[in-house]
Amino acid sequence: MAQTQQQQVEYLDPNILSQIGPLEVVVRQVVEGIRIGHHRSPRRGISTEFTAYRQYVPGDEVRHIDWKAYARTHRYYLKQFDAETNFVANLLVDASESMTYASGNISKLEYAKYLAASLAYLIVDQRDSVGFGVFDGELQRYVEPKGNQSVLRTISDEMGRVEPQPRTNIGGIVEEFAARMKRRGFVMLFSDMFDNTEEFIEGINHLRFKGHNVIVFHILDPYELTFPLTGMWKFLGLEGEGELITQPARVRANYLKELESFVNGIRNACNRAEVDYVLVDTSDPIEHVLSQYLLQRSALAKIQ
Amino acid sequence: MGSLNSFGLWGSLAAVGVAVPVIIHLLYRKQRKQTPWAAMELLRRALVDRSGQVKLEDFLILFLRCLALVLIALALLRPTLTGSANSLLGEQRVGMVVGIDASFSMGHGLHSRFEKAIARTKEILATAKDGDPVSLVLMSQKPEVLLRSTGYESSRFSGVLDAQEKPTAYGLTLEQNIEGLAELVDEMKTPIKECYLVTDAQESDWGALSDKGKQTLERLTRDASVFVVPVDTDSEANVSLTALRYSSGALRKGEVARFTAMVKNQGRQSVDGGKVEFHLNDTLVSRQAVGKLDAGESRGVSFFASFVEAGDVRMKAMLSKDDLAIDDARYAVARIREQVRVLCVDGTKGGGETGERRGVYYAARALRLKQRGEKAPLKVVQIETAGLSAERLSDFDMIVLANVDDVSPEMVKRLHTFVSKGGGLMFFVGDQVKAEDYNQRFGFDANGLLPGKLGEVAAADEESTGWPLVVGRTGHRLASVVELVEPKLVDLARFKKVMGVEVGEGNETILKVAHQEMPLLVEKTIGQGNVLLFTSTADRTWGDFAVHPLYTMLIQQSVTQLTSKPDGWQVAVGSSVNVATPGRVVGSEAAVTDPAGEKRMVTVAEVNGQTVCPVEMSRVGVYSVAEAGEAPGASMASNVDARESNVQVVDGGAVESKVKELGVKVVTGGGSMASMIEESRRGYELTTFLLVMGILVFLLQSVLARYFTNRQTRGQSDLGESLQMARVAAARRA
Repeated sequence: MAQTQQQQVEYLDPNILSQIGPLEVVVRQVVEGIRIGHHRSPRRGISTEFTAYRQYVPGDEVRHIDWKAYARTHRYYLKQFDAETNFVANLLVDASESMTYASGNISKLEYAKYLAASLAYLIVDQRDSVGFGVFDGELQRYVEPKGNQSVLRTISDEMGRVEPQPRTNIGGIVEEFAARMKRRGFVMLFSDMFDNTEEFIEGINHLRFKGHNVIVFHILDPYELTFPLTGMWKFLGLEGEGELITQPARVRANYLKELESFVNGIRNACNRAEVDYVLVDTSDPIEHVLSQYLLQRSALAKIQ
Repeated sequence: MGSLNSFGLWGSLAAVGVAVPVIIHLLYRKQRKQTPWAAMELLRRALVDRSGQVKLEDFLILFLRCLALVLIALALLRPTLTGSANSLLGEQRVGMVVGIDASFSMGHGLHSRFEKAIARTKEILATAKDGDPVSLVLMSQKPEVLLRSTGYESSRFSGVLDAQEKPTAYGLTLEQNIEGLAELVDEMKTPIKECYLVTDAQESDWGALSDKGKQTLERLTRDASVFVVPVDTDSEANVSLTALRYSSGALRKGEVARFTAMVKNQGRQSVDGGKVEFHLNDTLVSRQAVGKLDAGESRGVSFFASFVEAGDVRMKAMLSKDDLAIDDARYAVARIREQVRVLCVDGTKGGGETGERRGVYYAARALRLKQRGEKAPLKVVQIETAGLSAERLSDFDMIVLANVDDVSPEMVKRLHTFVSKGGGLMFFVGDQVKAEDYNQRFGFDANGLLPGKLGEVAAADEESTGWPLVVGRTGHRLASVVELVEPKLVDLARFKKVMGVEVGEGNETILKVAHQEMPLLVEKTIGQGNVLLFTSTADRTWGDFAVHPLYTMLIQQSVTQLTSKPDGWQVAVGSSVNVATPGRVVGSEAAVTDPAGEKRMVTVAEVNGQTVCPVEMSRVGVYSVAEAGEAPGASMASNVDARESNVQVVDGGAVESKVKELGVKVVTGGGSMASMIEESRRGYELTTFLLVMGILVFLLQSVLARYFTNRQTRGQSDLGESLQMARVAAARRA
């Protein structure tokens, strides 16, 4: 069934996203693609879930009274939705040099931008607030969370100004964010995580401690995931790690083991901290990644 | 340890072979691609974990590849292990070159030495294995290869050997044959090489081995084990005819000439020489007993032959048969002239002390001893220098230029042509001969007519009687004229003046004067003809020789020498001869009859302006070119090499003492031969072993390379795959 669905949906190839048009246009197409492919209601989203009934108290809006429940019970009940909680989401994109790596036409950074923008669109579309931050060694830019459409344009503009820097400090940035965010909300992190893992884990634990929902989008290039290179290669470190000359075929097994260990370390840390972890392959269409994640999350919500 | 192929060539190829993967590796390194990379830390950790293993694997594969190439290159080098090496490593192949002495001395004995040599050869070949490369060579004047590096097969080799019924008619040229064997040894590509010389070990060959022969043998021993296998000899007795030659007289129609057959006892003991029969044109004309001959003694047996007809006369001397028949016959051809015409040109001008008896007077007198006139066997025409240009030179057989000083360049050219075509020319000098002028006019180099460069005239003291003459070249037919005369009589011949001459290379000084050994009579060969230069006068101007009895004899003999060439019609058997056949059309066919009576057609050719019939004198006897119309026939005799008739041998011990230091082994005892041969065979070729090892190593590296690659591929935990699985699972949940 799922396969049939997949066959029916035509996703946008990540390699051609930049050729489609400005960011907003692309994001709109992406989001519409998700809706066309998977959802009956445009209101279905991360914060519009039915949670419980509560009795009517004076001052509540009459339009929220569940008349069907009244018919059954002759009492006034209000239907309570998560959406009504009006959450704040902060999207943090890693703009270090390592994110500029691209085996195809799209780098991890570009992909992260499209993914973050798409989520921002979705969030604003359901009238929640979204903020945006770009960091490398420190927080480069930050757009305060807002719930109106204009914030999308601001975020888009900021994204256009992003200039990659050689160093990353995810742990520090996360710590800084934990201190900065007064109100509990969502923190969505887009990074390849090629940094000190322990500091990162400390950071997200801090966020969780403050009651924030954290979602980690671990963005990796397909070449980083499969290391398919053959022959003799010289690897130039993007963040000043120097050079390495080797035959990838000879070290592939070990590399993949190291990668698995690295990814599992982050995944396990996320699981322990009850942080959503999404491993993203930049060769996957963005709408596919998004829809899969949203489906996964809704499935989890139903279970809980 | 040695190698059958050139180390230089294959060693270089091996080096190149080993260098190729290394160079490819280096080039490969140089042509590496580069990429920016984000996951450097992961890659670095992977490298730290793997680098030692990767390097080890790389080096192992590289080493195995190089080793495979080295082994294959070594196999191509065809290395050999000598000594008592383990035969499991290699295979023992023996290459043999067997040279069988087939000189005619091997025909000696009731059961000839040649038959015994064939039997010995079969014994030697019995030690070969099927497929071993074997060369069979008959050794005589040059090596004749019967089988060249042929895989040994008993029946085939026996058949070839059995087909050799008798030896050749040639002598043995040992050095040339050893060189031929050495070439065959070089051709063989086996770890063990053996060369056998099966011979009667004649004293003449092995008793005094030449330096060249020793060097060749020594070189041969570097490449192969060399064995001399002397065959048993029943006896060493042999009486042979060593020569049949013209001694004196005139070879003209109606004249009589004396011929001498030399009989020699070649053995070590005195024997009765038996009888000699003389045949003229296959007709027995004389039979004479030789008498007792001491060991090594030679005796001349003469007979007189009268020539009633002109033309070539076949002569044969036959000795009583003994153990070696081939040298009991000797053949000769006498070319009998109908008439010999001599043109005497007198260059002397003005009168002299001797009045009219000047210039060629005495020479002409010496030639006209018997008959005069047109029909005389020796016709003499006497002219002065001025009349020379009007004469047709081809009308004469010989021209005498006495004190001639004025010869035009055109005449010199005509004289050269005349001599080249077989005419005889004799110079007498005199007062009118200016050395420089003569040298310039006639030339003294190889193309000139003069046998040497004329110099100044040496004169004896006026008070003295002059200088006597001495023999310059013993054995020359003209010198023998002097040798046969009493020395006291010879001493009476005196010369007061002699013109100096620097004898040109290849020309012979036959007579000299005692003073400073100045040449008196010098001979030069030009084409088919000869030139004689007498460095004194033909008359009495420079001495009294003209009135000495020797003068007449010398003039007569000179005419015979220059016109009839009595020794010019016999050659050694095996020679290739161009028999002059004037009057024939070049390209036409001529019938040649060999000594066995077999006729063969040959094509008439032109060589040096003469029409000739090329004849291969492969048999002993007289070859005759048949007449064709007006073209006369021509004959040529071939005889065996008299030196080969000495059948005395040196025993095995003596041979060994001479060749042992060269590393040559002598197989003397019949029974020990096989064991001696087997004992010497120590060596194995490693080609197959190395080739197999090379292939195995190559396969091993292929398997290892595949294994390493597969292991690396298999080792992928495949995060991508798990990612894909996660996607599929998520999709399924959806």
